[in-house]
Amino acid sequence: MRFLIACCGLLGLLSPASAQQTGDAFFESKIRPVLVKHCYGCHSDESKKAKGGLKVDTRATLLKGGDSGAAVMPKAVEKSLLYKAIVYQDKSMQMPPDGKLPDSVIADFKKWIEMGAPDPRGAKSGVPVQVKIDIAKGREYWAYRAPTKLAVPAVREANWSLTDIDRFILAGLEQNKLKPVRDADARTLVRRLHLTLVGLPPTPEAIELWSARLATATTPKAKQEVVGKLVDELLASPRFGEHWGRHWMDVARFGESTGGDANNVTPHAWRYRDYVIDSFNADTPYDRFIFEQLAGDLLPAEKPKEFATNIVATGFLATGVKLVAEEEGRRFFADMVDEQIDTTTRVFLGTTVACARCHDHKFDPIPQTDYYAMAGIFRSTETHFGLMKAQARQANPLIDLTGMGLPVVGKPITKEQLAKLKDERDKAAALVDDIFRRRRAGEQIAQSVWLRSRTDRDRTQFAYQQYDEQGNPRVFAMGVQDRELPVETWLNVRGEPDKFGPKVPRGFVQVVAKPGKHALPLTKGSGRLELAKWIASPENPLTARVMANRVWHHLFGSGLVRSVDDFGITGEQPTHPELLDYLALRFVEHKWSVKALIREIVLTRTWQLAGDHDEANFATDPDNRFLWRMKPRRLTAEAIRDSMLLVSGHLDEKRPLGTFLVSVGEGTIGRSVFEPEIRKIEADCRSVYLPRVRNVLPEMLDLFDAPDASLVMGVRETTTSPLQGLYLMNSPFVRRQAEGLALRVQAAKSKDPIITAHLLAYGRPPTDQQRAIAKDFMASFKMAATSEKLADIDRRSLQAYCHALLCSAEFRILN
Amino acid sequence: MMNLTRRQALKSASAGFGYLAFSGLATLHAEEKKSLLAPHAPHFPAKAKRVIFLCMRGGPSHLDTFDYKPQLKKDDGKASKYGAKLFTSPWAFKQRGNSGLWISDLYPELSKHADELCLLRGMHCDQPNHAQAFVQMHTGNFQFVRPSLGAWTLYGLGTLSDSLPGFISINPPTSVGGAQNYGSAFLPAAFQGTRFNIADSSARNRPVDRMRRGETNPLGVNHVRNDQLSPNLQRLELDLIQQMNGEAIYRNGPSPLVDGAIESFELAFRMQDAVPKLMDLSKETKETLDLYGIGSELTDGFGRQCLLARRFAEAGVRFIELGHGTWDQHNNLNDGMTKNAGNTDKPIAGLLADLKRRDLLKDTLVIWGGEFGRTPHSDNGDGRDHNHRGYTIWMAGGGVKGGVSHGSTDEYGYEAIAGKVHIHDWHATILHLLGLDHEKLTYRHAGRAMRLTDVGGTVVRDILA
Repeated sequence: MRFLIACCGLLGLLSPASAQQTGDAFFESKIRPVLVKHCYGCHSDESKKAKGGLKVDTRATLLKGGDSGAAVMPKAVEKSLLYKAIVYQDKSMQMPPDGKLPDSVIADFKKWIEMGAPDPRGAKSGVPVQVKIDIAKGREYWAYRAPTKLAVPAVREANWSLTDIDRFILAGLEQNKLKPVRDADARTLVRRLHLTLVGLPPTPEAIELWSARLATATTPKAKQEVVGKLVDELLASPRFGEHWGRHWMDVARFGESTGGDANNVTPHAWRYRDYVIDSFNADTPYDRFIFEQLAGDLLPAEKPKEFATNIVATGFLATGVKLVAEEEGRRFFADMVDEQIDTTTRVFLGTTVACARCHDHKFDPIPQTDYYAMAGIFRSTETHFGLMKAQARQANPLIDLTGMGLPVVGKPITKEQLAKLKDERDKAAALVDDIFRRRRAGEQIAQSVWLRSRTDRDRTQFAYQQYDEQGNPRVFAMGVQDRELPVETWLNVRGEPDKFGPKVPRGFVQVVAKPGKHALPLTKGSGRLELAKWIASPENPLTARVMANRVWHHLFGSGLVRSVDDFGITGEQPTHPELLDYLALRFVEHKWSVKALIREIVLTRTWQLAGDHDEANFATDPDNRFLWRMKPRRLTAEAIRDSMLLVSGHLDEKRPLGTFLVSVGEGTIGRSVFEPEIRKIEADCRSVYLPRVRNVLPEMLDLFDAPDASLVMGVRETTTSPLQGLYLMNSPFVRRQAEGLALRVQAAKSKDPIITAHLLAYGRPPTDQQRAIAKDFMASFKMAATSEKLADIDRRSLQAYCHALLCSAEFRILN
Repeated sequence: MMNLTRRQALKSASAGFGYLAFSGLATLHAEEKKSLLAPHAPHFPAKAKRVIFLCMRGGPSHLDTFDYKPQLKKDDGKASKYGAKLFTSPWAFKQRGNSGLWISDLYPELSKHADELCLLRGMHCDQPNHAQAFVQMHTGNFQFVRPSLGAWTLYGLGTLSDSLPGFISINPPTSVGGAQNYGSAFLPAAFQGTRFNIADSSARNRPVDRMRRGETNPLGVNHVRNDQLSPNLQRLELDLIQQMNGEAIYRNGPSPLVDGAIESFELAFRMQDAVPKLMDLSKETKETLDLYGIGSELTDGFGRQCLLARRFAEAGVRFIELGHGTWDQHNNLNDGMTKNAGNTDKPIAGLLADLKRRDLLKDTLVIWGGEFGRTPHSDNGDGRDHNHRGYTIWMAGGGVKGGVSHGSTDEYGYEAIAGKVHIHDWHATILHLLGLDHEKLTYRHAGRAMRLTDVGGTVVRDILA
């Protein structure tokens, strides 16, 4: 597949006449006519047939071949199945079926393959490259058609399914001759439910309680009632929003700094973080959630607190990566708008509209004008992200929401204290001015002194700014507001901010809008409210599908569309398109309730399957696309850390107020805020509340693949590296959790501390083998420690054992 | 080992633990374990045993470095066929060495090694976007997550070090594909690269600066030392962890996750010893440090990377990638290129010289390049745009001809027109130099035999020594 695709930058470069001309001419005169005449009937797009999985109408498909393998291997006649077929060598494969080709034609094919199978069609093959965008035709693509309600498929094994979702899955399994594995046992199921819904493992007591209840359920229905109760309990827990809110923050690329060229801390971003967590806990209907994030500032609000919360929600648009060191305001602004378009369309629509900034989208039916239609909306919006001019070339004021009932960080101060802060600020500012003047006058003043003075000024400015005139702590938020007047938008040729094309009226993505309904009939406002309305509509073919697929992804480890952020042509196709439609429609039916959707999915037999390996299934479907089991996966970085804190007894479930970043101050990282200061921050709260400074993630989260928040990231990576091993073995954090766990084991004063340790760490007693391993370990460790003349050997050996439990793979695998 | 199935792979990696757990043996030592990473013979004898890839991210301009364009100089300022004005290189080109290769004045030190260099001046790839092109350069494919070149190399050859990762990437970017660029994708996790972060040449390297940035560690990686347990006691604890992991596989069946954990812990344990020794440059002579430009501000960062690369190479690391950037000169081409070349010229020359005098260059393949080149027209007056249709990558040592130039771009440098080398061809050639047939180095995944070069790739035989 050596197709050439131009995308961004160099457009219009055409291939020169090349030495391949001879080969191409040979193909055109000798080969193509034969293929068209004898093969296209069963193996081409035109005939809509690909018998044996083979199409011969492009170079790529010919090279790729069909079910039996590559049809043509350039220069390898013997290995080319097409050649084998036309010489009628093998009785099972003789082509064309209606009679052998003349010897001269066969000789031509031989020569052609020896030449390297030149084929000018190659350049057009592979992923189809859009030449001129045909919107009407584009609408025929599955993702742009409205989800349709289809009959639940018939299945052979009628008794297996518990729900319609199961029937959709079972139909797929049966078609592929796969057999679902057994159901997960009670302990596994209880642990899975806890880790999946709240991101924390169950306590041994919870496991005992729910396993006992499940054991008494005699019918599948009764069992599901018990499971349902546990699900309801977990969904009602405040821990749910912390776990699922974090999933959302992965796609909302939430970060507490600007990232980019001059990474500036944004100490007020946390309000959006808490907003997301609260929204998931409150089960805010997803359509409402969209409205709040895109246009919360434009929604009617009865109370000041509701108004303020809606503003905080628009932090969605303000917390992205920004190149705040950019000198040219226009370029900065264009890039910020680009980031907003990219995030908005990928998060809610699984569509990469930002690809159409410089030219029409190369794969999806999105003309460049669609991009600028959306850009008009965001350009008519003012984004408030804060920062101070001294630190960042690009800075603007935050939104002041003081006195509206939002949580207040800090306590009021006295008039005297306020005056002191002002005085400090003024003095620091004066010092900066003074040094600046002296330097200009030619005096040699060390750079460090200069930087220090600026840091002091920023720090004191930061401190003073935290209070209103009465000395009450101010409440700030990042967010957006409409500009006073909408901004007219012209298309930028090649995406360059200073090269203008035609004027583009504000509007939506045409292919997803109803024909003729994509332009906004706007008289006032930026159009964000209308944009939100269009996205959050049941009529939008993508919105419900994309979110239902995200939920599925988090519950199963993979989406029905695996490329969860890209439903376009270069994304993956759904494994179960009918089921995806079913889920999307159910989601809307249930008033866009994320909790109801989760509940419905986890109460299926499919979701409750064991994680067992099965050789036969694995051979056919190694990736578990058809869900013959619950594929074990590694916990997220946050869940691993939180689980350790929980089993060590150290977890502080209370939400910290604000952000820990307050301790490091404001400014650019590396200039006035220092990475070691940020890295020093450690707390026993849930990981979601740790500082999320771009490029300076907390070490453990970084090592276990938490996203850096620079891009929409619906699917996290899962890497394994010796650095993880080093962290687990040697870091003070893990050691401290092992010590905590050992203390809990000791405190339990049980007959067998090993059993207690396993119950606390893994939620089940050790297997016989594990007990044997443990016994051996304790004996050898004590012996070795004695010979090293160590004190406190019992405690040390138990600590080492607990440490090993936290380091073993079982601790971080979700079965 | 080459046609290892997934199941066999897992057995060899982990069966030992399960077995030992049940036989009641309490201790287990690394040498008793058959590792996926054990060295194995290539498909055919070859000269290169390892790779040092000097990765210049951002798309370094071929027109200002290794691709001399007299016509561009003549037509400087004229409109190009795409409208924007042609922009000749601000640097003079000269013929260097006995071979007379044309190299610009940006690389005075490297130019002294011209007779070792093999310039591939007909490079091209499929995408002019950083992320896609960077990922394609590393994995062959920008649309799907695929194993990286280093991971394939490790899969094909195993590692020669049992105490260091077989594939190390120093200062890789966190953007443009991030970990994917040294990832193992569907190959077993043991083949994934390990990231080392050291002081970068993109910023000043005084101790106070390092403290300010705080992103580096003198050992490259954190938590290398255990200050709680003696090595003996720690080994006992590690054996316990590994036995429990082995037991989990025995109980639940093969699991790539557990498999990866087993490998990573073993390696982590041995790295505790090996890494501090390797990262300690204090035993290197002053002459050697000077050779790499260590100690002078401009070259210290990349000089350290290059010296470490040599040390890693000596220690048996199979694939070493160094990162430098960014070379994305849309603006300020003059300053940017001067700084970038200044950072890297002496260190790279030092590396080549050092490898040569230690007789390592003959079996070390050194590669220099970025994800694409730049346009002959100016982007913003003093800058160039992305150009994926024609650019230069060079190689040296490890079985390539020295002092040769292969392929060429058109008169201005827009597009490769002769001796074209696509990323797949380049990958095929690198594997060939390592003794691996890119069509045979396959791994079964998703129902087909996958390979680095997908369905393409032709070895560039003209450059083989």
